Amino acid sequence: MYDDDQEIGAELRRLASADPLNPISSSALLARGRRGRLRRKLISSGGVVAAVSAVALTATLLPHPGQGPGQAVAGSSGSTIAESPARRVAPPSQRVAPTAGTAAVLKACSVKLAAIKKDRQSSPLPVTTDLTGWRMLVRSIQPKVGTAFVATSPDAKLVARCVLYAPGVPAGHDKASNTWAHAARPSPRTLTEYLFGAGSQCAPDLACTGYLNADTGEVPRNVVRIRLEAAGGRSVDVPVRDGWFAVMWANGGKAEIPGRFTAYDASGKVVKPDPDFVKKMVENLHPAGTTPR
Amino acid sequence: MPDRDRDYVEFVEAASGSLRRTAYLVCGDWHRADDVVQDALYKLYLSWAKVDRLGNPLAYARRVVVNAALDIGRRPWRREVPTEQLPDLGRHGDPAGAHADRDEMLAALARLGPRQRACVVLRYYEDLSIEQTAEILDCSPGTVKSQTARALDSLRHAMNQMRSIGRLP
Repeated sequence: MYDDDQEIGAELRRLASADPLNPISSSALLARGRRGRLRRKLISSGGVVAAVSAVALTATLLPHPGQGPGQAVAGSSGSTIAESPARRVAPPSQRVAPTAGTAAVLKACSVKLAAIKKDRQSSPLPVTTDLTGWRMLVRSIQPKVGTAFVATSPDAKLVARCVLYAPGVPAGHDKASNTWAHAARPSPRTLTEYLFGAGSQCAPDLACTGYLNADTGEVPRNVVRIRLEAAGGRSVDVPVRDGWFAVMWANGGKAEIPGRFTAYDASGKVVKPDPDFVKKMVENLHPAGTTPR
Repeated sequence: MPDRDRDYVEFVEAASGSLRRTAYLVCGDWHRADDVVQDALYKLYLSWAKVDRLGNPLAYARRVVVNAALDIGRRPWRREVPTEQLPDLGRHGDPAGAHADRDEMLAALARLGPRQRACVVLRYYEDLSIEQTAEILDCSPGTVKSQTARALDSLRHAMNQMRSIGRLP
């Protein structure tokens, strides 16, 4: 047995010794190996570059969330478009020509409210999604961009505040948080200096320049007119009615939050903001001794 | 030349011949064996730093070569394909001389199953232990023993035939 094994080993060596080929070239192998290593490095670095490019391309193709590239909306409130979760393309019915009639914009707002309620995009959710027959209180229009308005139900118990964009405006500008339908409440007694906080910087794909104020809100009933000002001398008269205002206006410059404004009463007198507005509001919400620590 | 490349070249010059002979015994064709070894050495270069650090590049290369030599016969383009016309095998003027030229041992080795052949080559050509062979072939030592025993039976039979025709003493 042992002899057989040795014999088999010897036979295998005899077979293997008849190598007819030239020795393997170490230099050729080395060159091939170097090329392979280089290729690996290129592929791996190319993979990283491709991944970064893909991410960048995706980010480019995504709709702008309401601000130009590199432009931060400093100090913007939590209700800006940039923080809106709704980035998908809005159904066409939510879009409306800024100059469309009341019925058309109310219908578009109803669709938007329904979408908000369905997707639970805001809190509290809209109390209604049907604005049929409602009355327009105030409305502001930014040509080619959109319109903001406040409407009230026929019995005046409900209020809808809506910001709608034109059909050509890219998705991402449909800001759920600027559209509500809620129960009517008494107007504030005093004016706050913190108005006009909502909006976004005009993105390159929007037909406007500067900061786009897109807001609705409440003021004391004695305020009948508000002049919103921007750096550079530009200003706009914001429509006010029954203690509600709506504004959709691109100021052509930097964002100013809160906006610089002057409010007037029916006699043309300036209504000054109450510096203790916030303090009083907190006290109203939490009477003395109940303010949570 | 960097140290890495110099070490690699030294290894290739020292081990490539032996590896090609092993590959030939496993796959039965010198040219396939050459391809297998060059591919294995190329892969070895790509992971040379790691393999060299582990301290036994020959074991790594042998394992790659043997498994590639086993694998190459399984590749689709190496398989037999049915044809309508038989190939022209030529005519031998002297059948007895052709028979004498034929190496019974090589034929017996070719008749073995691939893993049996690998076991025999590693055990009796490379002089590896059962455990080392099992590690290279990724199987248990028991499998190596049984495969080797069957292979040896076939090879002994071939050697007896060679003795009977006087080609072995």
